[in-house]
Amino acid sequence: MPDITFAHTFTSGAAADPANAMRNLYTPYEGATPPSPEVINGGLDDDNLPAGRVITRRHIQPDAFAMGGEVGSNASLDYFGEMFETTLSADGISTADTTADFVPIPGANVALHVPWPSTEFWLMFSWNISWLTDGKDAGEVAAIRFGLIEPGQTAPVFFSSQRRVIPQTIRSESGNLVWRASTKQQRWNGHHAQTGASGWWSAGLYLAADCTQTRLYARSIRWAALRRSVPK
Amino acid sequence: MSPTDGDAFTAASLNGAFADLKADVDEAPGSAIEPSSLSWLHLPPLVGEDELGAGSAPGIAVSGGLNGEHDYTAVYDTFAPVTDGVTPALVTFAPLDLDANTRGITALLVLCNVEVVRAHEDNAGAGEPEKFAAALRIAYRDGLSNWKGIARTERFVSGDADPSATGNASYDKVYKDAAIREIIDVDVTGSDSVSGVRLEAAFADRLSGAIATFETSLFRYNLTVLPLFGEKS
Repeated sequence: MPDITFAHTFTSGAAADPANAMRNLYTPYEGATPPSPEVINGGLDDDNLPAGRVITRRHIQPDAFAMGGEVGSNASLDYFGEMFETTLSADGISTADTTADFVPIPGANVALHVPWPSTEFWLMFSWNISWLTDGKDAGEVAAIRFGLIEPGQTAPVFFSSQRRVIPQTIRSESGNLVWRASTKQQRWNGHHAQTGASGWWSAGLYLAADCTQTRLYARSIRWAALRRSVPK
Repeated sequence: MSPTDGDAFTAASLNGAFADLKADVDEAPGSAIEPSSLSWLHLPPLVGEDELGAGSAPGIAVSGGLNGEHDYTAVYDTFAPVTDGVTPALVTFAPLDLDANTRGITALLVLCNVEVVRAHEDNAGAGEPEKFAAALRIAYRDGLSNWKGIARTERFVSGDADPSATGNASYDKVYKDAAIREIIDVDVTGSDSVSGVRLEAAFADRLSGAIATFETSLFRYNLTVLPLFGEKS
């Protein structure tokens, strides 16, 4: 909306008409050029701002550009293979994981609400977790997957690319059991990006173990929602 | 200037008073805006995915590695693009000049995770020490064909062959995750025209040897590229 162009300019020598002064003060209007300061009744826009940056952080509502959150925990958690009925393969291909056996990991799951219109945002999740197993054979593994419950869903969806394992960690050497240095402890600093419906989301890491014992160490998960441009 | 007592009430002073009023409305200062009055409905988005234009493929986020392990025998410094055999770890789009603020985009946020199954020497003999590593990095495309690696994104994941056996045994598999996070902006690209981002792999060895005996095996990966709006600094 352009600047004000007053309806009347007073001329020296002409008879003074109070109605002209009134019209300059208040004239309801429709159109592109406001003829009076009546434009302050909800009609101001960026044309009414001076050059330079006058809009600062204090003018913007929290969560207008982006939102985020984080949870974490550093208490060690032990899981035992007898708790799980699943059979896991080291690579995740030759044996299908029984997804129902994957349990959510405390300290590595979040619930969040996105109020923006559906698909007009990107949700980014990133997480850190480390864990240890005592698998003595190639088939004794502990797997962690990222699961996502979108608005309206009741069960997590797992993604084929979002799965990491600890393979065999102990092997026999000259009759003695020794730790494998490279797999003794596994770390996963993963990420997932997703768009979808507005509403409540749940996301996090899930564990299933097919070995004697698995120990989880420090873990955390964080999320950020960024508004995206979409065709109008 | 606002009229005061004693001023002459003339057409000129009246016009001057209206001019002052107009200036106050047309040049409203920041203090005239109510704090916390601007919501997401007033503000532009941060991610300019819609601005990538024609030629954007296969999308802004790529996940792959569903078809089993793939081996990369490219040596360090040459690097090979990563693919699962069907879906390459690659995002392409219409060229952007980040220095010129093309379509408002000033940076690309890149997140990548890849699972290294093994980084091994096929013919490693019993008792040979670990001497190899998977090398991973992010590269961007300058123009439509010239790929340039970003050195600071290089990540190395080492494996350890079982001293009691030769390579390729199941316990040579380490299944290590490598994470790369990067902001590609004008400090990286200079005046280049950026039209793609991909994941590349190679192996790095500390000893001389027959190239064909070294391999980096990858399994799962996911790559996310988000174009970010910004102002040219």
